[in-house]
Amino acid sequence: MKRKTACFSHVLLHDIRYSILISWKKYLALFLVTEAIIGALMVRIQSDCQLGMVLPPLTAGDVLTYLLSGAKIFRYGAGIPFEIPYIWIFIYLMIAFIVGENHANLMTSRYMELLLSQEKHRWWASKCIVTVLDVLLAYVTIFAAVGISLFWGIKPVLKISPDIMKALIWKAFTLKPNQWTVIFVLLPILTSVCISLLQTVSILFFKPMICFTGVITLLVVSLFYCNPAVIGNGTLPLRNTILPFEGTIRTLDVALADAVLIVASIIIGNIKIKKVDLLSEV
Amino acid sequence: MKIEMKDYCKTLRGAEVLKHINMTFTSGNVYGLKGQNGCGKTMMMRAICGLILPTSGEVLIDGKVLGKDMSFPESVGVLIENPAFINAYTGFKNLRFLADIQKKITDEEIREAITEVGLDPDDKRSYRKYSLGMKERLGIAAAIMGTPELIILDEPLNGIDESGVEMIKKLIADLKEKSKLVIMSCHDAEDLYSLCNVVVNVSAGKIISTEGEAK
Repeated sequence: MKRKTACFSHVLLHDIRYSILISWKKYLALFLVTEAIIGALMVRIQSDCQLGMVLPPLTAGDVLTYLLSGAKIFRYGAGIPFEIPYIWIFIYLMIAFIVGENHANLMTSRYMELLLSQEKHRWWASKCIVTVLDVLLAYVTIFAAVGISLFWGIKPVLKISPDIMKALIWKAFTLKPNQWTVIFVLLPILTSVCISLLQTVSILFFKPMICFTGVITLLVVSLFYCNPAVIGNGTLPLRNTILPFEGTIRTLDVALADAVLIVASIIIGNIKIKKVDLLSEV
Repeated sequence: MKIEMKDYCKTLRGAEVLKHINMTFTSGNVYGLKGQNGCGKTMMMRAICGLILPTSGEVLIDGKVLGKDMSFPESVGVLIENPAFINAYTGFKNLRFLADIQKKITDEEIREAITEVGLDPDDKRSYRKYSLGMKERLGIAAAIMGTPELIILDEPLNGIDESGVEMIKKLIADLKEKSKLVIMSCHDAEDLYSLCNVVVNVSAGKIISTEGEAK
């Protein structure tokens, strides 16, 4: 008898290839839309300069801050208009869409992969890693879009310009590069990984569309409710206490909450996969 | 290979879908599951693969308990609903992509499996352009590639034309000659009795009777 076993690297490589095959068009859309947003930003800065505002040249840090800033705190009844963060919505919707579609058939027609993997824990570990890679690739796509736009004269430095921040986000602020990296990149990535893993593990319990809706609900609630317990706030850098926007989100609180939820998702998924029925008729 | 279902019961959302199933399957035989829609044939197949877990009872494969000593049968090919193939890939490329999970199945074995089901391994058409019958055939090819010891086919003749049906019948007969264990279901009783040396009658989640003899 030919003994058939699959080593983990083969399972993981298969899942990575599957993810890219299913989602490459979405990453391309993310890239192109990000380029379009950057283009619109440059047009806006140019027209502001033409109107007499004295603004320094855009830096990569300015562009990335603009793309990744999210929204300030929502204050109900304060009479202050709440600007809907369309860019933030687009980015995190795309990530949820990518993760959701990659894992949409996990509990149904992808049974052959599970059988060939031979080992449920191995299969689940691979799915978790691919979920993390999906999020990282989305961020890489955004950074690549900014990287390409450097050809349009954007300075390739992460330093942000207070005057540009004042023009774009209505308050001047500066951050040290390491602070910027933590608040605008690392923490949102960690939170996004957390949300995506929650989405993936919930697919073991519910239909994929319900899980996707759950993620959207979480993101919407995060927009309107600023609290570290509402984990989507980790993807909204403007609410960090370090920035002068009266935010209440402390980096450490969010990072701890994310870490706990990530570990919990992996463990719950590992327990569930041992007991779950695949291809249930119900 | 010897598969034993011992007092296997499965309840899903309060409904007993399999009730006290006791059955032994051995290599070198083709077992046919016969019964009306919803009687539990596909559930039995899922139980044998390890895709569902019992509420009580167990499945033993060569003495090992499925779900405890092993997650899945070590050498199995399954067709239960169309697998999630990649629409942009050809038939060969889809099977290659699946087979790469184990890196044990050669290109030649894949080509052989595709040919045996009546498809062309060099066909450049992508899966999205396949007809229903072609998709079904590719699903069968995925189940038999590498010639696993246990092959489970749920309604393999659905959507396949007459010449294809004859081809699949020959394929199943060949698998029996190679001492593989085949478990299948089919709506056409004539096809089932001609292909299977043991026919298991299933009704309301129970085995009512078995006809024929295993080798």
